[in-house]
Amino acid sequence: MLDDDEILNDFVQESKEYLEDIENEFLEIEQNGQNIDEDLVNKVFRKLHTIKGGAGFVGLIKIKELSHELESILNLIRNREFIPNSENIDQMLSAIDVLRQMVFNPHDSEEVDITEPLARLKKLLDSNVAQDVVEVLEHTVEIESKNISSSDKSANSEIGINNFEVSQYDIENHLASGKEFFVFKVDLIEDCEKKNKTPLEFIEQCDALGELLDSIFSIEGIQNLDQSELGSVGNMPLICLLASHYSLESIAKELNISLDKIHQVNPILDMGDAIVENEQSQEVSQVETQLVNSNSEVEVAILEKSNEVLTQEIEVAPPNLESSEKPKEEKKKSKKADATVRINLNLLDQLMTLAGELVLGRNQMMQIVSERKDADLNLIGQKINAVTTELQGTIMQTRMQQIGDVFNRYPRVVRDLSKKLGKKIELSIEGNDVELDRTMIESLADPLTHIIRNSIDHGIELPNDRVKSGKVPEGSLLLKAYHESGLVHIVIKDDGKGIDKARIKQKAVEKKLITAEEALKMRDDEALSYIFHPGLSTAEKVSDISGRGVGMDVVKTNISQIGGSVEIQSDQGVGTTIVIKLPLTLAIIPSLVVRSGQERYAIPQVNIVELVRIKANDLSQKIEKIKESEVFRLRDKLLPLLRLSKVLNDGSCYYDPLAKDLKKNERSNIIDRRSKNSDEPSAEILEQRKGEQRRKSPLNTYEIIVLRAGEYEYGLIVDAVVNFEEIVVKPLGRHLKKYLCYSGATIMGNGEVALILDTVGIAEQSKLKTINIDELIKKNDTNKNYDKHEKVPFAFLSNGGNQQLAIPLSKVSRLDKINSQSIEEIMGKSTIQYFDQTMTLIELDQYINVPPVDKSQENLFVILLKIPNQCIGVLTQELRDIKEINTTMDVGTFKSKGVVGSTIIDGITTLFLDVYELIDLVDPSLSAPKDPIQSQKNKDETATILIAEDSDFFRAQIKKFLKDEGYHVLDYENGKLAFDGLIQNLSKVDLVMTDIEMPEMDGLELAAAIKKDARTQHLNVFTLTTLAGDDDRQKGVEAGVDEYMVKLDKDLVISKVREYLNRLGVS
Amino acid sequence: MNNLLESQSTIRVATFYIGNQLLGIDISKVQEINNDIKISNVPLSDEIIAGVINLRGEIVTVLNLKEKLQIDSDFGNEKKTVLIIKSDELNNSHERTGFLVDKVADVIEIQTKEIESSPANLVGIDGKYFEGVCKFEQGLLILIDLNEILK
Repeated sequence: MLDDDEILNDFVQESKEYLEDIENEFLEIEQNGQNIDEDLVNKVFRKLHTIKGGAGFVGLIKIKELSHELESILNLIRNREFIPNSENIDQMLSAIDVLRQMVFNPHDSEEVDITEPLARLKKLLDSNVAQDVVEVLEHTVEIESKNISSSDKSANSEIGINNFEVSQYDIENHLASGKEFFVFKVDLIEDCEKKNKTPLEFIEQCDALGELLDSIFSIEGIQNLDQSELGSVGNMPLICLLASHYSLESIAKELNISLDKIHQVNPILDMGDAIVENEQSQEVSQVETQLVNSNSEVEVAILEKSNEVLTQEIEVAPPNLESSEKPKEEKKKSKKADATVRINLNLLDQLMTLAGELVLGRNQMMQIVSERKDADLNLIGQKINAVTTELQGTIMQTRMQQIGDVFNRYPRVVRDLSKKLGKKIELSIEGNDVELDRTMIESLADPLTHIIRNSIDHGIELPNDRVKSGKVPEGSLLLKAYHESGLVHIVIKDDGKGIDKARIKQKAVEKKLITAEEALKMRDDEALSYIFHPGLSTAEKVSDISGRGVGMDVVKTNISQIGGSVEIQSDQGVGTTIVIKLPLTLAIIPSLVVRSGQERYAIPQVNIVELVRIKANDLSQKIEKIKESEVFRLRDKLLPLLRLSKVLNDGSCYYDPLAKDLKKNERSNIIDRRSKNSDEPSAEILEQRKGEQRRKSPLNTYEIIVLRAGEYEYGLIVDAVVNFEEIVVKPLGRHLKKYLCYSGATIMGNGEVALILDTVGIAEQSKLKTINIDELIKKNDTNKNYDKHEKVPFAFLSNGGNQQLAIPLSKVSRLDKINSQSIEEIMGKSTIQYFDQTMTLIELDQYINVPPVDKSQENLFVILLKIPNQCIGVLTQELRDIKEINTTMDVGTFKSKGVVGSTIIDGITTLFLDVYELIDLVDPSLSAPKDPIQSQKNKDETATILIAEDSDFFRAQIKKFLKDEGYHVLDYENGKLAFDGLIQNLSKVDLVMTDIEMPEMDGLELAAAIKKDARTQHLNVFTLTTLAGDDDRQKGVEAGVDEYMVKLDKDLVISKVREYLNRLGVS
Repeated sequence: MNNLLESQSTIRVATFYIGNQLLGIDISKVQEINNDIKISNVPLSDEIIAGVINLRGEIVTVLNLKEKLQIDSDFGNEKKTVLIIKSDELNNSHERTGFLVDKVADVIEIQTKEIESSPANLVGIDGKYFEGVCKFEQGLLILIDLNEILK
């Protein structure tokens, strides 16, 4: 094998590119079927031919053999002697696979056993092509070029004796098309390398003139190397056989070789007796056929190897320059314009590093420049600033690669898989030219392949099933890349059956990832996110394509490793869309800089879910302790909590701004402090708490960064959040590679090093997964009893005094600040122009026993109520908070018109407002007009409705509006009481309305019990909930629920009640 | 003993102290000496890792030679002197490594024939990190085997 790395490298690089193209072109040929596109086949043929030729040049015999075989098949296709079916294409593709493998590892390619793919290709020919054609094709002819002018020693024309191996089929074809044969000598060093041509380019140049049939190393040329008269000959001489229409002179000119190195050979076939004699013999006979070289006494002999012989003399037709073989000038030109230089990757990386450094230096300089206020300096600064930015951008571009390099693999993957599974899939690819950092392109291939396999295997249905569900039999798969908001988005979209969310939940419950109850509550998109959980495969049957339980979690991990995120969206029956979002480059990433102890650390923004700052006074409510680990209650979730200072064991310090000093934090655990405080806090502490000073002091706030680590989310407490910064990522030395917590380092503006934290590493380091997940579930279970009471968000407002008012957030459309000057009095009512509407303001003091709003103050607040077609707002002095609270309340004490009940929250009396009643008080005409027919019927309305609802607030509300409609209402606090009550009042109850989440027995259990019991199963059951997800609805339907409604949607609830009762005939 | 030492008659050595011990490194392996550079701590790392520094944009790991060689020193680490070692040729990477030492001394030229192979255990230090020793009037100069230390 040739031992010149540069030439070999060129060959490998170019062949790789060709093979990529060839694969997709094969697929096109397959699609075209009978309608053979000659240009296309020709293109593939040429590429294979070039690879073959190149392999010959560099001495890779096996590659040459295999590509030759493929080339012959293409030749037959081109001549329409063979029309490949999809099975044939399969075989050819698998041969391409072997070929690719060899090209990728050229040094080992000679060791590869290619007898099998060769045999398969031969078999393919045998069974598809007429026997005589095959024979002619397989029949190789050896052409011996022999310099017989031994007397002419001084001639530079010495070419030596060489044996070319050419298929008889080719020779016949070329002769028939009137080509002539030329033998010439080139030198890879002199004629290619020194003239800046790659071997494959040289071959293409030859092929532009005709067809390069074979090339061999000139052994004699090498031997003659030392001879002075051959000084011009380099050390890699090749003898080539070319079939062409051109004249000897023009070929020499085109290829830029001297005339004395090229000779025409005229194959005149000598009909020797030996041929006839050996016609039937199986033995290899050597027949010397004289090829007379007109110019320089080179004799070319054709040696017959098999029993097949050319039986007639072939006349050489005159050269036809008008044929399609004419060189394509345009093509050559474009090659030259595309000038590129190969650069060592290390050099590029180093440039990138330096550019990053320059950016940092520029940042520091610009700060000083702006402080100096020196116009000249400023000008120079601006210039350097601009150039630096551009330089950085340009260097960044050198690392960019087109995403098409990855996308182009998939037509083959899709074809092979869909065939194997008997599916019909059309793949469309968009955005091939979108560019990404080279390293990311490499890491993208595996995750993409996985997603695409999933789509084909699980997503897109079999043609029959598709037709049954009203789709076209052919599934479509879209692979698309585009830029959006500084990120590259990659979309993989199929129109398959989608992901069964109920199955995912069921699986997640089976695997004890969530409880059955959580599954019930879970929204669809949350359920979908479990697909990224390790070990969750929803395939009913494990196939060898996907569904082995490793899968989407790996995809997610891989993508996050390259700084990206994955989102999934799926509609059952319609299809699945997966969106991968990637930063353009890994080199510069936006990060949060935090401090722990005396060091600063950077956390990549992609890993951050949110930042939470909690006050010390809220600690007891928000942070709980399970065994030794802390958990943090964020909305409805319990998050495991880590302290960065503990994780890093750096001795927790905090900065005391009052003493301007770092202090050792003596508490090992915040929770320790809480427990001390929770029993009898000293007067001093209480005093401190009230102080405004203290509330603002950082000592009293905790910065919790909610992080995503693969499947888990956890909170990280840091000593301080410094700022958000774009950081330049630098690798850590090999001594530090083994530490899980760090993924790299960066240099801060002041020149100090900050380590970049690895969120997954920190979770692993802290054994987060193993400690917490089971504990959390247990904890959740023990919390159930008080947790069962639903928490509902309310907006809190106050007009002063030790009293506040609460309005359920579900009845609020927006909160806004208004200027008290703009309030107008119209017909005794306060109004305000709100955008293009006139908003009626409810002044609470007129209806409820609360202090009036102080209108001398400039800023007042308005709570715009969510009432269809009305613009009504509640005017208030102060907006206090939006909080989720338990709705246990005292319905008696403060009961008045417009108030449902009261409770005490944080020591403050809180009145719950009845929005409907309030509106009624303000202007009865504003509340929804009653259906006149219904009103009439209400007179003798006797229907009884049973309500099960644990929340006092909602129970009171629902009861009230049902009563207003004239129904009898029986109300209970949970499912169990409700069921007992139902059995007792069996004869009275016409309809059951239940909340879903309740202690003791929940709504779905109640519904199921009612539907199971013979005494009650005739009853209609409505469920009322705070949120209406499709999945909840589904669960409800399964439990036998008849209607599913959102609480407080009064109009809908009433109309549904009427509808059902009318149906029953009870009115 | 290393081929390099045998092939040349004299070598130039950068010397430095850890505690009272004089140590030396072939000067051609030392890129530069940095005084008073801010070393950022790497929490959780081994004792022998002093931290990382910013060497003109490159993050360089600094090894605490005192810990690595187990030499007693009460010098303290108030003033940080870091030798930057070109370790490229040693491990075939472009990485540089820093050595935290107590004090830098002179660059001296020594005759290779004066270098003796080191005893297995010398002044309580593991001999595997030494390439050889050199006796002077003032005491002993230990030549460090970079390959072994950077392993």
